[in-house]
Amino acid sequence: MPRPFPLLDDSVFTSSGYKRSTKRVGPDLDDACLCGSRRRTRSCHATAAGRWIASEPPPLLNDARTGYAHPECFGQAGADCSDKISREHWISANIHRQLHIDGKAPMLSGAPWLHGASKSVGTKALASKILCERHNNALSPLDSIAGQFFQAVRDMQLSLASTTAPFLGPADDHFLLLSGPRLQLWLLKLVLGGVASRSFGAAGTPLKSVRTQPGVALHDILWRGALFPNRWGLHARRHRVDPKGTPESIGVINHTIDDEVCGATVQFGALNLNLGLGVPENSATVQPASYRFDRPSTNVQKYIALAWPEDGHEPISYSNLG
Amino acid sequence: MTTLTNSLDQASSTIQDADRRIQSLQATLDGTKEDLTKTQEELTHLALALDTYAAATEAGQPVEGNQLRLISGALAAAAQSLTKASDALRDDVIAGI
Repeated sequence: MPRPFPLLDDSVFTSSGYKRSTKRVGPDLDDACLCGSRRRTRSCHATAAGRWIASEPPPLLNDARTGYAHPECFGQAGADCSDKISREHWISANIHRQLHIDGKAPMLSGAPWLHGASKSVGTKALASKILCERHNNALSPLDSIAGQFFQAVRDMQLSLASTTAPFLGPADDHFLLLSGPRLQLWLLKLVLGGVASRSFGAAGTPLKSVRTQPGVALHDILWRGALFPNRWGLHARRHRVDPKGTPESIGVINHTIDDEVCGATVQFGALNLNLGLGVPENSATVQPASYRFDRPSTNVQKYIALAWPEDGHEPISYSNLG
Repeated sequence: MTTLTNSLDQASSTIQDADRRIQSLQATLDGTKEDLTKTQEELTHLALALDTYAAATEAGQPVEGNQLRLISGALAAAAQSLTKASDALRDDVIAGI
C-alpha cells in the first residue's frame, strides 16, 4: 500500500547550504527533509524518483457556514460571511512592503482607475473594502506564503545577477520548497481581488466578472477546499523568459474572454506564474513541478520545488537570467 | 525567280519568328494563368484561415487585458533620474550642433 503523503505547513522552506544530489538538480534526497521532520527527504516530501509531494492542504475555512452573504464581500456567493467588511490587499501587503525601498513607496501603473498614469501608492492605498473580515482573515496564510515566495525569488534573481556583478556578493546555491496548491490558491485570490477592486481591465475599462463554468464555485475552491477542474489552475510555458523582468517589481496581466476575466499572468521578475480558469489552449503549457533559474556560465543552482498531491507536473527552466 | 524565293524565305522566317513569339507569349500567358490560379488558391486558404480565426474568436480565445505593474519606488526614481539625465544630455548635444 503506498504511503500517505505528508502535509506541508503554510511556509516556504529555503536552504542555501544543502548537499547537492548527484543525480538531479536540488538537494540530496538522502539528507534530512527541509520541512524539519528529521526524516530523509525521499521518505518525506519527495519520492525516490525526485517528485516533490505533499497531501492536499486543509481548507482555509472548515467550520460551519455562517449563512450570511455580505453584499460588499467578493466571497458572498458562499453565504459564509461575517457582518463586518474589511480592507483587502489583493496584491499582498508583504509584497508591497518589499518594494518600499529607501523610504520610497512603489509606483503603480496599468490599473483602469489610473487612466494611463503612474502613481506612488502606500500600502494602505492599495487595499480595498472588498472582503468581509472572516474571509479576509482566512486568506492570511496565502499572503504569508506569497510574500516569502516573492522575497526568495527576488533574492535568487539578484544573486544570479551577482555572478556578473561580484560587488553584489557571492552567488550561492538556493533551494526552495513550498505547497503548489497553496500558491495556486494565492493566484486565485489575486484574480478575484483584482476584479472586485476594479483593478483589472481591458482597453482602460474595468472588468466586472470572472469567467467560470456551471458547477464550478470559485469561492468554494478558494476557501472550502474544493478542487480546480482538471488542467485549470497554475501553469507555465516551457523556457519562457522575460529578460526585462526586474526582480524589484510585480506585474499582473489579466486575460479575458468576452470581457470576462479567465486568468492572469503574475510576473515576479523573470518568473511567470499563470492562473487559468479553464483548460489552456496552448499545448506548450504545462503544470509546473519546479522552476530552475540558470546561467550557462555558472555552476550555481537556483531551484524552486512545488509539492503537489497529484502527478502530472513538469519541471520548468529559466535560462540566461541575471 | 530568285527574288521570289528570297521573299518566300523571308516571309517563312518572319512567320517562324512570329510563331516563336506567339509560343513565348502563350507560355507567359500560361505562366500568368498558373500564377493566378496559385494566388486564387492562396486567397482561398487565407479566407479559410480568417474564417477559422473568426470562429475561434467567437468561440472564445483568451486575450490579454491590462498590464498592471507595481515597481519599487527606488527603481522608479532611478529610472526617472536616468530619463532626466538622458533628456538633458540630448538637449546639450542639440545645442552644441
